[in-house]
Order: sequence, then structure tokens, then C-alpha cells
Amino acid sequence: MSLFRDLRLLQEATAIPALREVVREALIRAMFVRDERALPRDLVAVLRSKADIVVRPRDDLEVRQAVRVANGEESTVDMGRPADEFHYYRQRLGVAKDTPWGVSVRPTALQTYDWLVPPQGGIELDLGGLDAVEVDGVSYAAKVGPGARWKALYDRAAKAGMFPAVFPSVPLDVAVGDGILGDARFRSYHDAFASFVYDVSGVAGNGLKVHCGFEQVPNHATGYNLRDLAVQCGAEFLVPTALHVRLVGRPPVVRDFVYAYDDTAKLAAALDKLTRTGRPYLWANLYDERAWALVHGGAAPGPYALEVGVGGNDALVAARTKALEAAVAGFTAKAEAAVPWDLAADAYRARSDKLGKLLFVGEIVTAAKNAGAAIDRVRGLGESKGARGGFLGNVMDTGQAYVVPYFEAAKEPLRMYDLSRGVADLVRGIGDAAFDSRLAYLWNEDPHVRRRTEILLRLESALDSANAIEPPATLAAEPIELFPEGRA
Amino acid sequence: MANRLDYAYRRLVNVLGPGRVKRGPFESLLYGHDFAALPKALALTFDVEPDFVVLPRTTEEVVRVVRFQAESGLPIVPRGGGTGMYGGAVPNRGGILIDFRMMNRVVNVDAANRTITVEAGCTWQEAFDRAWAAGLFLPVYPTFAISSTVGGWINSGGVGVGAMKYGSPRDLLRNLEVVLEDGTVLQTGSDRVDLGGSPTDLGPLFVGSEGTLALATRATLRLHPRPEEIRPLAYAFPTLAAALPALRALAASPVRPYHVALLDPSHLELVKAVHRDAPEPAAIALVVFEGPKDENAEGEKVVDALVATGGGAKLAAETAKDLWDDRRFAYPMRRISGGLVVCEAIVPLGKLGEALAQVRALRDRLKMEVGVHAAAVDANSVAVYPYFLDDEASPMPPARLAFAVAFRERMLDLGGHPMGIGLLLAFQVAAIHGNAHRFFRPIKETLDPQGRFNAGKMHEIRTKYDFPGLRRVPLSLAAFPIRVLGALKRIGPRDNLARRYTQHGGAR
Repeated sequence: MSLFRDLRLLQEATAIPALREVVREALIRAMFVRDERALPRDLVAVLRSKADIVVRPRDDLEVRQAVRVANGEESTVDMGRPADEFHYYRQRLGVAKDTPWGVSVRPTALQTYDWLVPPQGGIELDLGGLDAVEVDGVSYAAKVGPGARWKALYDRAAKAGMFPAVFPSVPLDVAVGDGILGDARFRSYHDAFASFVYDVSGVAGNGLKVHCGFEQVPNHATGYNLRDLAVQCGAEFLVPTALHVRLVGRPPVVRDFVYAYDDTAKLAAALDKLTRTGRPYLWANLYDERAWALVHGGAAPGPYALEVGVGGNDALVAARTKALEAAVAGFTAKAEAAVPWDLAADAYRARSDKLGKLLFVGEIVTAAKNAGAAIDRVRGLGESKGARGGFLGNVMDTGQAYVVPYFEAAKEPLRMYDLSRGVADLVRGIGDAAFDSRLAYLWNEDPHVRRRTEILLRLESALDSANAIEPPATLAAEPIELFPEGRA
Repeated sequence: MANRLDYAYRRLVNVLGPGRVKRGPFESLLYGHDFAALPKALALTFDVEPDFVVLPRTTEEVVRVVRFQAESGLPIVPRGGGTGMYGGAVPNRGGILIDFRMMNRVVNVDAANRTITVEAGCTWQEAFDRAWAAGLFLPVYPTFAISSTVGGWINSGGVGVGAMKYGSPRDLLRNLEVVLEDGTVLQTGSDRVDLGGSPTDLGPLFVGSEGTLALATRATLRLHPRPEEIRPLAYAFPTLAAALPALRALAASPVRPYHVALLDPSHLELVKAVHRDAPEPAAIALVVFEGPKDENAEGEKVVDALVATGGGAKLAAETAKDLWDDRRFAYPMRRISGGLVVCEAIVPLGKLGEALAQVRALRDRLKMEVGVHAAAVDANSVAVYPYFLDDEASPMPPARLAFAVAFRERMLDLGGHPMGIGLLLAFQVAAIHGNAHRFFRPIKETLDPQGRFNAGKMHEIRTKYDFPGLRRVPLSLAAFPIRVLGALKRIGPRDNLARRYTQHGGAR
């Protein structure tokens, strides 16, 4: 699973400028919905590929062994593949470096949809077995396996009087590693996911164990910043085996307040004012009625709900609550709810299963003051597409809102594609907003984004010169047929 | 060579005009070192004096200099305020030094989006003041905010004031405009939308890269609402290590200070040597809150209680205010000797006592005058800043570098990491990053395959010589002369620069 594999294949398939302009989006669509009639044979073959073997490693040594098999340092005879193919040629001569055979990794849970291009044979690692959570209770740090559920970390940290510094943007039962391997987003009112991660350790394409950061302290510049590179796209050049993450003290009093609005303009104004208070709230989440009912159960206090986590001692909670209510004025009802993360693990998982049935397409990033416009447009889009549209979301003290649209529709590729396209179009209409989704990266024609992507692809090639991790798909050398078998 | 340089000079003058291309001996001398004077002996290995100093005013001019470099082959070294410590902005092979301080405009303060866009040569102080005037707050800035430039600190990385609550410059960076080695301009993110954490946000890659990957020309930083109040509080402890339980309790408490500075008596002794009215030497924790007044008042109560339990004593509000006001003037003792080198490392909070003990042991072993202070980075870690006085006129300065090298090694042993690589500390990269150091060369070669920007640093140590076998210092041997000089320092006399300064008039 790899965004870079998708990007590379698209790059290769549309290498001719005219193709890029004319067929790029049609190609993305056809690949996404697996419309084999509209695709050339070589692309169909690529899309039909799958991993030769799925391995569930128990520790980082087994991950390392799998990578060493893929990069040719260990024989593949035991796997039924000729040893000389991957041992002699790959290691000694390097001629097999373009062979799309290596190690790929699947996230534990996906919020949206799969990548376009599946692994081209090779070994697929299921990192669900690397799910250890170590909280020593003294330092404000934890070590977690990439397959460890965030909820498990939360529960362990809570026993030690701590919190993970970030929460899932949508309360699904995702693994911490999904922030790197998949499409899970984590944040709190104050902290972003990158600031939560001290270190991503894993196995590089050369088979060596690497630390992209430091286990006990944050990496604040001592040479090239590998930590952020690993957090943003680490799974493209290494297989994560552990993350060292930052915890924060759990306040003695934690309360969860919810404010209801009947108007998105009022909600957006409240969000903007909230982020200007300078108060250290724990989380600020957004829901519509349906999402509220799924997350908290029971009837929502209003059509649009803002949930704010307030922590502190009694005096601080009182002061923060008073300031909060002044900032979010305009609400029609208020209530106190249970802390959304404190459910028992089973109940959390059951709730996640229900939430997971909604069709998510990505995340709209915009200024808090624009959140209302984003919400209105999502609802409008749902109506126009015949799928009820709603939202969850978060707000950070930076003044940014993250609106996560959902649709009550069947998770069919065609539906997902059309709704994603619709969200991308509506985001363009908001201005000062971005659509954070894998399809949006593929569609993005901004020259700076294209250039950055090109640099990232080159970086990935350089960092994994053995081409052992998430190797790209390659097309047969025949020209792309725009109208295969004469069909237009 | 002279003809080639004359030709290059004329070409650069054509680009920038005669007033903004310098090649005089004074400029060469001035730009041949940064905040810490480099040992003279390094001239044997490096050509630290640039052939030209250029002062562009626009990104377009930087692009033209980069394109000229492609013709001339002269290496380019970017430089901000020159407040680095290890020669990161000092040439190793002469060439063109780009001083960004004429690109110092505040381009835009966007109050609605809470961002500030500045050119790379704008100082942090200027950016802070402009944001403040617009009702906003630039929460993180370096100790040398008055002269340190935005581009310079982004390039060098590190932590400064406000780290405890807001992190580092990387956490503020929304977009960085950089000139790449092919002369094209790249926006690493977006001025209008926060792409932080998205796979295509390239900004963090350039933070801490010491100008070896691209030339930063403009940055857009996140701002926060201007706080109602900034409240500094000072507490005295028997020793800094004795403050550790209170710091741990603070991490577990429901309050989140903006900044926590820890001042060792050794630091205040040196401050006292130059400022008569400085606080009496003691172990002091400066805890600063920012935000609404009622939050700060409650924060003060919580910290007062924690400190009282932890054996500390609260100092007068004026003392706290003075210490806070002096945060940008942390090193007045540079006046004592004219030279000062500040080392910087982040260690786990639980190892602070050991880190301070290691600093004292090194100080005694090398017979040096060392001050030390520290600052909390988050609930789990602390940045330690030991510094030593350095007499440029003495024949012994290189020996004092042994302190920096040994300090960095010891902090690594404690589970921390030192900051800054600079001109000649690349030999420590493997120890700091382990196997991940193998990623450094591919990163450099991807973004700057021709080695145009600040080449020969970060993952290698390149000399001024162009003969096979002499072009680079083998990393395994690089530390050897420093260690030998360190050994010589141990048998030499004890430094007494501060005492001599006091005897000759001393503090004002």
C-alpha cells in the first residue's frame, strides 16, 4: 500500500505531456473504480496484482528478515522463488532493482479507501502483531508497536495518570501506526501528530534498523530532520516497527462540554473565537446530529455540536469553562457529556465499527471561520448526490478547522470517487482550504505540489536504493492505448 | 585564479550592483567566523574566508546568484545573523557567501489567518514586534532573537524561548520559500492553508539542514493570539538538580507554563562578573506563564505549592521580571574574553542532574570556566546549554573545543542528543543517528547533487584542498586532534579569564 506507488504509476502512464493533460483524471477514475474496459491491458495487469505472501511478524527481527529477503540479502528459496533471482542478481549485480517485488505494509484500519495500485507480488507485512504498548509511568513517553491500537495506549497511559498527546480525529479504533501507514489523523486542541512522535524506528530497505528520531527526547534539529520525513511518508522508505511517542499529564478534573448550534455561521464564529481565547483546552470536536448519536449515543443537543474537553484542577476548570462559554456564545443548548475516549475497549470498538460504516473521503482543512461554509457545502453535496452528507471534525488552537465529511452511502468505488470529486470541487469554492485525501494528492495540479511530489519521489528512491520497500509498479513497454479494442 | 575571481566579481556586480558584492579583507575576516570564533589552526584545513560576500534583496537576486554559481562552480554558503556556534555558516572552501540580512522585510502580517510572512533575513525580534503590534504573538524565538534571523534559525534548528508550550521553529512553520540548486523557487507548503503533517509538506525537511539542501528566502509562520499577560516567576533551589522533583510535579500538574528556564549558579556568577546588579549566584528556576490573567494566577498558585513542597523558595517579582527581561541577553559575559562558545543538547528530564554533573566534571577536568543553564523542552526533556569563555588571542583555543566534543558525547550517553553539526562535527553524526545517518548523503544528493549549497558539511568534512586523499577529513580521524589538544589542555594552566576581568575593572 503506497501513495508513492500510485503517484509513480500515474507519472509513468502519463509521461507524455498531452496524456497528462487529457487523460490523467480519466485514468485516475478508471483505476479507482477498476473500470477495466477503459484501461489498457498493462494497467489492468498491474491493478490485478497482489502480494505473493502475507506475513504477520511478531517482532522487528522478523520484519528485518522479510526486508532482507526482499532486498536480496537472504535467499528466497524457502518461499518458493528461485534464489538466484533475488539473491545473486539483486545483491551482486543490482539488475533486479526495478523488479516490482519487495515488502509492502498494510495499515491496521483504513478510514477512507485503499490505494489505487496494489502490491506487485512480494511480501505483504501485517503489522497487527506488533501491538505492544510500553508506558513506564515515570517518563512522559511511551513505546508502541505500529499495530498497537491508540485506545490501548490511551488506557495504559490513563492508568499512569497520563494522556496520549493526541486523539484520533474521528474516534475509530485505529492503530497509532496508522498515522504513518494509513490515513488516520490524530490531533488534540494544541498538538499535531508530528509533535506527538519522538521517534519512528523501523527497518530500512538495506535491512538495517534505523531510528528516525530519538527514543526519549524530541528531535529538534541535529542534522537532517528524519523524524518528520518518517511521520509524513516513512512507510515509503522503511517498515516501522516501533514508535516512541509523547504523553502528557492527565488533569485531575476532565470534563466534556457540548454546545449546540442551529446555524453553521454561528458555529464558525464560535470556533474562531474559541481559538482566540488562549486557553489550553484538551480537544474541540465537531459533530452533526448523526455523528453525535453514533459517538455519544442518544439524541444530539442540536443540529451542530461543538464538544470541548476542559481539564485542570477545580479552579482552572471553572475559569476555563466560564471563558469557554463566553467565547462560544450563540449556542442554543449546552450539556455535559462523557469523555469520548473513556469507553471500555469493547464498547469503543463497537462504536468504531458503527462509525466505520459511514463513507469517509478525507478531510477538509480550512480556517475555523470557514468551517461553516465547508459544512454547508458538504450537506449540499450530499443532497445533490443522493447520499446524506454529514461531518465530524476538530479545531486546533492554531485557528485551523478540520472538517471530516461523511456520507451515508454504500462504499462502492464509483460512489467514493464521485463524492471525493465533489468534495474536492467544493473545497475549491471555499478558498483558503485544502482537501487532504489520497485522491486529492493524485488530482492536484498545483505546480508547487507537483514539484514537491517529484522531490519526494526522488528522495524515496534514494533512501531505498535497494527498492525493497513498497516497490513501484512498472508498466509493460508497450504504448498506452487510449481506446483499447476500439472502444471510445 | 585571480582572473577567474575577477571575472566572477564582475558577474556578481552585474547581478547585484557594486554596493552589494564585497571582497575586501575586512569582510573576509568578518565572515570567516560566526558567534564563536573559530580556532586559527583551522585555517590549515579550511578556507573559512569567502571570496565574495553578496547581499541580495530579493528572491530573484538569490536565483541569479545560484544560476551564476552553476557557471562559476564557486560554492555557496548561506548566512543569517551569524549567531551559530559551530561554523555552519562559515565557508570551508571560500566561494560565495550569501548574507541574507538585506532580505529583512516583514512581507505580511495576516491577522485573519494568524500568520506572518517574512523574508529570511528578518530578525526574530522584528517579526515578534510586528506580530505583537498586530495583536498577535510569535511564541517561539531564539535566545539571540535580536540578531538571529528567521532563515538562520530555521536552517540551524534548535529550541529557544517558548519551547515548553509551543515547540520549535519547525512547529511554527507553515510555508518556506526556498531556492533549489537548479535555480527554481519552491514553496514547501502553503501561506493560506495549514498543510502541517501532510505528505507533501516539505518544510520540516529543511529545518535544521544548515543550508545544505536549499536556500531559504521567505517563511510564513503561524501566530497565536497576543496573550493578556506574560507572568514570569522565579524560584531558588539549593542546586538545579534539586529542582528536578518540582519539575516532574509540574509536568504532572494541570498547568502548562510557556517557558521554564533553569539557571545554574555558574551561569549567574559569570553574569555577575559583568553586571553588578545581576541576581546573586544561585540555582534559579524561571517559570513563565502567558495567557489570560486568571489562568496565570492559578498557574502561579500551583507552581508556588509545588516548589514549596520541593524545597525551593520564591524570589521577588522584580527578580523574576529582570531575569525574563534579560532573556535575549543571556551571554553578556562574552565581553570578558571576546569569545564564547555555547553548546546545546536535549536530554531526558530525569537525567538533568547527571547532565549537570557531567558538565561540572568536564569543566574541572579541562580547567575551564564554564557556565550552564537549561530550559525545559516538554514534560519529558530539557535542553542543557553549557558555554565556555574563549580567549581568541590565546594559543590554546582549539583545546577548548574538546569540551564541546566531550559534552556532546556524554549527552548522547544519557539518552539525549546534541544540536548543531557545523563545519567540523560531522564525525558525530553516525553516533547521534546510528544507522539512519546513512540517509544523510542520499538526502543531500537528491536535493543538491552538485554540492552547490554549503557542501562538505553535515555528512562529511571537506577541506580546502583539491588533491585526491586530502579533499575530505576521514570522519574516523576528525576528532583525534581535538582530543589531543584536550589532553594538552588538562596539563595546562587553569583558565582565569573572568577573574582577570574582575581584577581589571570588571562589572559595570
